Amino acid sequence: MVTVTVNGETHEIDADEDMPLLWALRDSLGLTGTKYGCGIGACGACTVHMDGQPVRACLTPVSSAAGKSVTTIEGLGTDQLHVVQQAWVDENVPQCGYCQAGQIMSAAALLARNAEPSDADIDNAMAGNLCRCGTYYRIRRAIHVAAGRMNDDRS
Amino acid sequence: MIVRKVSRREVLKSGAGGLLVLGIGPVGCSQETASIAVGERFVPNVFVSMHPDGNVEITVSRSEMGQGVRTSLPRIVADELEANLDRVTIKQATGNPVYGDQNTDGSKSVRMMWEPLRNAGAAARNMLEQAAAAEWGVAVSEVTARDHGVEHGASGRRLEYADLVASAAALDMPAEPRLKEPSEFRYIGKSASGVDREAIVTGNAVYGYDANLPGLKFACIARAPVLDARIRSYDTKAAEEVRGVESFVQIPFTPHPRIFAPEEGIAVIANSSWAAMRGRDALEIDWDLGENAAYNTADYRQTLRNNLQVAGNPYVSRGDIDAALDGDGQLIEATYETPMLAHAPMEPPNATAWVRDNGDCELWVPAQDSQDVQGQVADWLGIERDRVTVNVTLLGGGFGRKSQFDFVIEAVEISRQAGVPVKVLWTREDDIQNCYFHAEALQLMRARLGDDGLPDGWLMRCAYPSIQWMWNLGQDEPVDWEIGMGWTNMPFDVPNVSIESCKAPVPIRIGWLRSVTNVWHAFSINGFVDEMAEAAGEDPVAYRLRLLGEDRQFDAPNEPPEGEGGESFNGLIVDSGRYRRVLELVAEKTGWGKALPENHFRGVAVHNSFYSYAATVVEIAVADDGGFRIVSVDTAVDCGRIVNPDGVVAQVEGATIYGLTLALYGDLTVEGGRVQQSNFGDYRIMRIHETPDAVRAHLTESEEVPTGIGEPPTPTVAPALASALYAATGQRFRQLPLLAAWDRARSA
Repeated sequence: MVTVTVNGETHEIDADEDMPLLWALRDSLGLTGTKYGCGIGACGACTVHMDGQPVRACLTPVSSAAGKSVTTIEGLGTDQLHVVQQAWVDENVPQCGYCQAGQIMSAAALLARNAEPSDADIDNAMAGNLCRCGTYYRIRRAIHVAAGRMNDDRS
Repeated sequence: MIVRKVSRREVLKSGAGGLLVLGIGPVGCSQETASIAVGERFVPNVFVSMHPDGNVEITVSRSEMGQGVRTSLPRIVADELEANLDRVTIKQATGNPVYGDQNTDGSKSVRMMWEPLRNAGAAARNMLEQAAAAEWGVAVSEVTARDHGVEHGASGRRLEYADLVASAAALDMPAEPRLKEPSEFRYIGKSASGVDREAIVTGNAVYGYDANLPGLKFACIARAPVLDARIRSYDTKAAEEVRGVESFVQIPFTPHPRIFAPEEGIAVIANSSWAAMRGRDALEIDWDLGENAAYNTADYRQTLRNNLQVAGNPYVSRGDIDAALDGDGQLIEATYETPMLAHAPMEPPNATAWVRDNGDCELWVPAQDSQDVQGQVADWLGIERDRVTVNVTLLGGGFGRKSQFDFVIEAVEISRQAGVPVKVLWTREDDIQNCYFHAEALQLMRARLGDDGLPDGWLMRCAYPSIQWMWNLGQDEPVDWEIGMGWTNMPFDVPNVSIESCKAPVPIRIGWLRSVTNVWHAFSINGFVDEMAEAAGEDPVAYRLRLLGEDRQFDAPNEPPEGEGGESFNGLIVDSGRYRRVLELVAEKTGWGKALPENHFRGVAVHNSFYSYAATVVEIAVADDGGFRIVSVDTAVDCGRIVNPDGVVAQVEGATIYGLTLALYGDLTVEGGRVQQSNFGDYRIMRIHETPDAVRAHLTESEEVPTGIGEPPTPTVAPALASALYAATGQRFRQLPLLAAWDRARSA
C-alpha cells in the first residue's frame, strides 16, 4: 500500500511499488487527465507536479510519491482556471488536445520558477513535450500571455 | 437537397420527446424512404433538434481528431439557423447509417457536409419565420430571423424561437429551404475557438482510453511481429505470476482479405493497465514468422528500383513517349526514394468494448469511421448492425491510423471470449511496430526538353505496395486512385506523357497516412520540375508558371465518378488556374526572388490534393558548422470558401510541422520482416526547439465550395525543403529523410 496525496486529497493505493505513478493516477484514482504517450519519458504527455516540480509520471514509481504532494491537470486550477489554462483557452492552443495536459503542467512549472521566460527558456523547458498536431507556436504564445498576466497581477 | 420532417412516431421512437426534429432527405424521395445518396442508404437522420425552451442541440457526425469538425460543422448549421451559439449544445453522433457517410478521412468533412448542414439549418429557420409570420398575420417576406428569434421590421415586433417551436413543428417542410446569401453569414467565414478547449485544458475531455465502466478489465496484446506470422505455441506461466493478471484470450488469425481484422495474437486480461502490460511482456510465444520474415528494407528497395527499369502499366498515355525521349534536346533523369512511416498520433490506438450476455455490443472508441466500425463489428459478431452501439470519443490524433480499426475488433473479440467489458491498450511500441504503414516508394522520372526548355516528353514510373491489397491480396502495383494523387492529375500540359505503375510486392501491412501517396508524388514532381527548370536556366517559380500554360480545367483521369459506388479523393476536375494563383500568392507574400541574407536559401513546391491547392516556400540558413536551420515555411492555400479561418491557419501550422517531421527525420526500416524502430527514441518527432522561426499561412478568399485542409498543406513541405537544400549546396536531394541525406552529403 502506498499513501499518496494528489490534488490535496490523500489516498491509499494498492499497487506494486514499481507501478508508475501514471497508472496509479489513471486506473487507481480515476484521474484520466494525465495521459500515456510513450512510457519512456520521451513525450511529456504524463507530466504532473510532485512537490511543485514537473515529473514524468510514466517513469516515476508510485512509491517515490509517498509522502509527497502530487498535482495533476485536474488540480491545477481552483474554482478558476489557472493562469496558464486560461491563456491556453484564450489563445486557442489545442487541436486534438491529447498532449496539452502535459504541456500545461510543464508550462506552469516553468512559470513558477521563471516569471519572464524568453523564447529560448520556453524551448528548453518545453522540449520534452511532443505535440503531433504542431501547436508549438500557440504554446509559446500562450506561455508569454500567461507570464504577462502573472506579472500584471503582481504589479 | 430537401430537409424532411420526421413523423411524430419517429420522434417518440428516437426518444427526442416533444421537439422539432428534422431529418434530411434528397430531392425527390418520398417521406417514407428519404435517404441521402452518400454511402449506404439510411433512414432520415437528425442533425438539429430544437427544445421547447428554444435551446438547440446540433449533432456532429464526423470524428474530432484536432482538425476542428466539432467546431466548424455546427457553425454551418447554426449560421443558417440564425441560432445564438450560447443556446447551442453539441452532441457527438454514434456510428449509424442514419447520419449518412461518417468517414472522417480524405479532408472532406466540411466539403461533404456543407450542403446538407446548410439545408438542415435553413429549413428550420424558414419554418420558424413562417410560424412567426402566421402569428402576426403578415407575409413571410416581411419577417427575418435574427439571433434566435424572428423579427417583423415594419412593426418592431419580435418572437423568440422558444415561442415558435410548437407552431413551427406543425408546419410542412419547405420544398427547398431558402439558404442565406453569403453576405448574411454570421459565423461562416469568421474565426472560432475550439468548442472543447475548456474540457481539454482541465483534463476533463474524454479520449478513447479515458472511457470507464463498472467491472472494466484491461488488456494488452502480443501481436504478430511479421505480417501473417502464426502462433505455433505459447506459454502463459510467467504472465500468470504477474499480480493483477486474470486471463488470456487468443485473437484468431484472419485470412486475407483481412482489411481491418486484427493480426493473430495473445491478449492478457488484467485488473489494471500496468498489470496487462507487464503480463503481456511476460508471455512466451513461439512464432512461425513465415515468408514475410525475408522482407528487409535494402533488398526491397532494390527490387523496386529494378522494377522501375521496365515499362509499367500505363495510366496516362499521351502522344508518343518513346519518340519524344529519343529526340534531340537535353535528357533529364532522376529516381526518388521515400521511406516507410508511421502515423504516431499522440494517443496510441485503443478501444473499449463490451459484448453483453445477450450478444449486443457497445463500444467507446477513438475511431475515424464510426459507421464502418458498426458494420464490421456486427459482421464479426454475426449480429444485426443496430445491436452495435459505437460511441465516438475524442481522438488524440488520427492522421489516418484510426480509420484502420484493427484495434476495435481486437477489443470486441476479447470481450466476446472473456465475457467482460474490456479496454485494450496499445503501447507506443505496439503503435509503431504494428501500424498500417505509409509505404516506402521508388519513383523514376525521365524527360527530354524541347528548345523552349519545357519538356517535350515526360515519363513517370512508380513502384510501391498498393493499399488496395487490403481488399485484393493479389494487388501487386499501385492503383488508379493512388497514382491519381498528384501524378495522373498533374496540371502540366506536356505533349508526350507516359505515367506508369510498376510491380511492388506487399510484405508488410500497408495503409494510408495524412495525404497518402501525395507525400511522395509531390516530392518527385516538384523535385523533377526543379531539375528541368535548372536545365532550362530558369527560376523555379517562373518555370512552373510557364510549364502550367494557359489556365484550363480538365477532368482528372482515373477518378471514379462520384456517388456511383466510387469516390473521388482528389477532385474530378483540376483547375490549373487555382494552382497558378496559389503559387503566385506564396511568391508574392514571400517576396520570391528578392535578395536574401547571406547563407539563406529558398525552395518552392506546389501541389493539388483533396480538391485543394497548396504552395510552399521554405527558407533555410546554413550555419558555420555546416548544419542548417529552417528560418521559415510559408504556405499559400486555396481550399475554397473558408468556414473557420483560424482553423485553417491551425491546420497549415500543424501540417507544416507534420510535413517537416517526415521530411527531416521520418524513416522506418525493416529487418527480418520486423520494423526496427519502436518508440520516440528511435522514431524522431519534431520538438518545439526544432521548429522553424516562423510558419505562416496565406489564405485565399474564395467563393468556391469549401474543400479540404487537413492534408493538403503536408505534401509540399518536403520538396520545398529539398529544393532549398539544393540551392544551398548545388546537390540534389532525391531521398527522404533529408537530415540524414544532408549529413551524408556533408561527410562525402
